[in-house]
Amino acid sequence: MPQQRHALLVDEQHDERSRGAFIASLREFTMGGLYPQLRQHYDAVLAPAYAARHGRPPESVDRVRAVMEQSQLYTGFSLMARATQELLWDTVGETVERQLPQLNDRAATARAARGTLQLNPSLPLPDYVAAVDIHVMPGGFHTDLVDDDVFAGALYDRGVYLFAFGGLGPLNDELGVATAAAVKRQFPDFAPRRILDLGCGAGHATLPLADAFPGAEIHAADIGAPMLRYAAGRAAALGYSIHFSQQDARSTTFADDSFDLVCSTLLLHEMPRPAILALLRECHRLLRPGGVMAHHDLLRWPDDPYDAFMMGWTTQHNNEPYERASGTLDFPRDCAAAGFSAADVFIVSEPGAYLEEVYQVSGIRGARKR
Amino acid sequence: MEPTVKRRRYANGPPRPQYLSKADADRAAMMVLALAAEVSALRERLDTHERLAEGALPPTPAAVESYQAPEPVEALRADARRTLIDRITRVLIGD
Repeated sequence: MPQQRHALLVDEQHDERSRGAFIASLREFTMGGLYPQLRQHYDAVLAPAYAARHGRPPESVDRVRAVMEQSQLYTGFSLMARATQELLWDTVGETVERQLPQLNDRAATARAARGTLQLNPSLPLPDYVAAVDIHVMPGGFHTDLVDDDVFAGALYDRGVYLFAFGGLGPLNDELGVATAAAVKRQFPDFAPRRILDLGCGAGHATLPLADAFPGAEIHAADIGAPMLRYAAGRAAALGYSIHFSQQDARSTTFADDSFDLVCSTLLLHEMPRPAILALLRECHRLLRPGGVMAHHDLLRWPDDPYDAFMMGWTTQHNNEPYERASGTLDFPRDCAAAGFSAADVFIVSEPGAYLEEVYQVSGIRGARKR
Repeated sequence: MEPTVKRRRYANGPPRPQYLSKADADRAAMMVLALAAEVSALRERLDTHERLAEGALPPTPAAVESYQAPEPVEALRADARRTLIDRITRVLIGD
């Protein structure tokens, strides 16, 4: 199913569409084909060969790494996946660059129609964000190219659709839909009136919150101004009234006890552990008594040495250096340290939401504030 | 037809110097992948011309730009992309 058109989605010329389709095919080939094939090859050939030589299977991540790095299938997979990632941003980037003035205008026009946007140009960029452009996306979520720029948002919206070869749905929103559904399942009578989506990016997971809780006042925050300008324009163009603001999720400007629901989707795994702990404390501060926090991300780092090695692929090859921190939280204990009660913590496995082969250990976890 | 006299394909002398470092080889592979994307786009552009001709439509720049492949055509193109990827990656991933 093609990506759903909206006023801010880039227009692609014939050959740009074809190049994009080729990249989606490359992603499908590497992640849908080679990735599971690697596991089969490891189980059938590489691990038995190691066991025959050493009298035991590869028992640690380092031993799995040593085995895998000798495998042409693995090095070929890694090169293909990294090259595809660079090609993805470069290809979509060329398309966005070509029409950036028009996209910036379309975003400004859409934003004027509904919703709000508050930027804070003096907000310091956290060191851990400045240190690395996650996903190898040049400029990350935060680099402004021109005044009133939406480049990062336009790049990410089209890019992530091709990256997931459509697997996140026509609006790239399936993870957000799953987050909202998990909160509703967990707390059937919960009717939040004021909701905050932290690390909202292009707003893919924000709009499902508005759908799931009609009538609620929805706020969304991110560190990146060009992402927020795009997200606010995209939301407005799709008919939603959302309040976007530029914030550091560890320390927002919102008042104490001011939200019923604070969510994030794929935010935690891009934060180092001290930042995650600060985020949990901030969620506790922002929630009213009875309010709920819910984060959709990795639930745990795999125990199996092969799975742990492959889970770490993105750390090494895709500029996601903090990923392991979210998978190795002691979530009940870390929530308790942030002010929640460990007894009020919930963890819901949601492996089917996206690329189940890779993210078999993902889901939603959170806590209700007493 | 096979030529009756075969020319030499190598020059006597020391082995060819090595030009690419490991990092250069990675860069070259990335160039190949970018070029493959271009080949795929060219093939699809040619396919668009043929589809337009099949419908007796002149393949003007505007007609090519506005052509949207219907689902059965897109499925054929996806197969062709997959075949191209298989072909160019065979030597890279063959274990």
